[in-house]
Amino acid sequence: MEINKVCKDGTCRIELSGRLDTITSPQLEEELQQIPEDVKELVLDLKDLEYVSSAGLRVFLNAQKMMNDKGTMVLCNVNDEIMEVLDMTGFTQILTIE
Amino acid sequence: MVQRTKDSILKRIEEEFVRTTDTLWENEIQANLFVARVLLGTALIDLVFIVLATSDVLLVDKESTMSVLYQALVELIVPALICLKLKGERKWLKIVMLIEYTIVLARVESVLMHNVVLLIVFPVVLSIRYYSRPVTSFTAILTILLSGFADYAGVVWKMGRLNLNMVELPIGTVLHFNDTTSLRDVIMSQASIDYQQVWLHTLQHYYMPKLILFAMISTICTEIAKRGRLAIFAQQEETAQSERIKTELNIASDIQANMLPNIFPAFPERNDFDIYATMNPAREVGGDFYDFFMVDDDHLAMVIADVSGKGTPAALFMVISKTLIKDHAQLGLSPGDVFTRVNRKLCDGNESGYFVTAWMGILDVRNGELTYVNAGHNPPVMKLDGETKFLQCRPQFVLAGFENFQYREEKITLHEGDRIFLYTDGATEAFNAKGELYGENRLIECLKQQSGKPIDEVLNNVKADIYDFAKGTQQSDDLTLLAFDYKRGGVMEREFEANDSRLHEVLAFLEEELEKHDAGMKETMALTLAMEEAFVNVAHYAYEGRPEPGKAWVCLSFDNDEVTITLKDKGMPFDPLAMEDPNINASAEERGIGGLGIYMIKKSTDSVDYKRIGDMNILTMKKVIRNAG
Repeated sequence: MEINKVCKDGTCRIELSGRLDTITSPQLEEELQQIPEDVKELVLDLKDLEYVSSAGLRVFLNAQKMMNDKGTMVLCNVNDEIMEVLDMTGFTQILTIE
Repeated sequence: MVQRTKDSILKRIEEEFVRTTDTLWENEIQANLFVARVLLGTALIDLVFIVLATSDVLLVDKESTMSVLYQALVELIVPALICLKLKGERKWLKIVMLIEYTIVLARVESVLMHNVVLLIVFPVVLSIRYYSRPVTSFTAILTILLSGFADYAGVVWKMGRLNLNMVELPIGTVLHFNDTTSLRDVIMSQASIDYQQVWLHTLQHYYMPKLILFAMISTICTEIAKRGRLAIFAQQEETAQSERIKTELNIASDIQANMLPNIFPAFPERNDFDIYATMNPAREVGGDFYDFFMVDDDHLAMVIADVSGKGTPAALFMVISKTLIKDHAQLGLSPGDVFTRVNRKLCDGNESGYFVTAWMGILDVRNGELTYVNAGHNPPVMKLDGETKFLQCRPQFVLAGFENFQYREEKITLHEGDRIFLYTDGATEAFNAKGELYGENRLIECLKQQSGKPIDEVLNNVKADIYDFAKGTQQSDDLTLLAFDYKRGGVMEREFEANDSRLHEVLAFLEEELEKHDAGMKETMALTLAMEEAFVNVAHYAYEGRPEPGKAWVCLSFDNDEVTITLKDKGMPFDPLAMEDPNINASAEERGIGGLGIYMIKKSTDSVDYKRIGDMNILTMKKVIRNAG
């Protein structure tokens, strides 16, 4: 799991690659907690993300709840496999996916 | 207890009474309908006579006879129709019809020629059909009274049915007749003939013997009616008895079926083998049996046997044999020793000459070593390294034959995918309508065709094939089949510490095996997901609050295109499937995170099953890992 985070002008872009599972999701959670307070837009780029389990979904959900208060959150470059998991769990309805 | 017995006896008596009464009533209805039909038949004959008489084919005294014949027509048809209308379901019908019939015939007799005197027997003979002595006696007495009266009336009154043969007439007596004069008038006008003597003698010598003969016939009829009733009772008794026997046999059949392990899958907690069996007795109970059981954690015993003969005696012998074999095997004896000892016990006191053919194998499921012994049974069919063939068995004498026979065992090693198929001669010796045997070749061929299928399907297909072959004939012998599938090599089991930190090892193990078995990308991903959720669940909750770390066991078994993942732990009982599915339509704010993992397990596998066996939670997930084709 690799996390690449770039924050500027109130926008944060986080690129994820590898697997987001029970073991790796706390890393992402930590990264998200560290984004600046004034961020209005959060972009999660999942281009190289291969796998996500319920632990990862939980992080997405928490991030969405956090961003609901102050701006928007977008998931982009979601591949088919990840999309299927999001679909299966109803997450496509509560996350914004580009 | 006493009260209950008493109640049950009373109840039985009551039932018996009701049943007997029912049967008699049923018979009476049938008899009523029969009598009604006879009455209508008689009416038809009556009609023929009327036609014949009016067309002068039959010579009768028209004045007296025709009115009697017309009256008879009405008196026969009316009660018969009433009876048919009521479907014979009235008690009084028999009396009405018999009285009516007797009256009609007596009246006919009073006017007809003497050569039809046989008429008066009809009602009595007919009354036998009621199988009732009172009814027949009543009809007989009524006939004697009415017919006696009819005779008297016929003789004394106007009709003058006198018989001149019964009196001595002076030689040279000449009697003058014409169509309008009756015999009575002629005789009365003849001074030389004593009229009183003529009618007295006619009654005395002509009609009285007839009535005496009739009385004798009636006595016989009464006796027959009585016997008929007794026969109904006897039949009743017999039916009740055979019903009782049938009930008992059905219970025995259930007991026998339940003696054999018959819940499948028989060992749901084991992934290293699969076993399936069926028994179909030719009658309610049979002499065949199969059996299988774990001798200890690593040894599985399989038995198939066939007691000589069929039905209840064979079933009793089967019970003894099965019990003895299992008892001895569970002592940990080798198959040869088991048979040697069981044989000795079966011989002891076996006066009836029954014997058992049997095959038993004990498999060490860890290494596939199968030790088997054959006592005169059909050799099993084996699928060894993909080849289906008969297992070479040392032929040895049947059980319960020679007391001191030493049974010797043989050994073979099974490998992954090997199968054992046990059967009784009900399979190979099934006949078809042409008298041909199903035979060993057909059996082998059928099994070869089925070799890739799950064993329960194999057994059912073999059975269907045999029944299909023997279609149109009665199943002549018990049919018992057992199939065993050895999956050892196809089963991977690993032990892991139940901790999140082990997750990647668990997933690596799964993915490696899935790759070996050519699982598709999508399927691998879905199963990885399910595995993670299930394992994490165990790691987080199963051993919560315990000081030392717990263990989890992951077991993978592959069966053709399907993988079965079994996850076991010895933590607190927890059925994840009992949890409610999360509401996946809720908004982000409302959504909790509970239950999501389990929901994902359900969604990414074909089936999930949870069992608590002993101190173990067993979660079984199945999924087809390749696209069809």
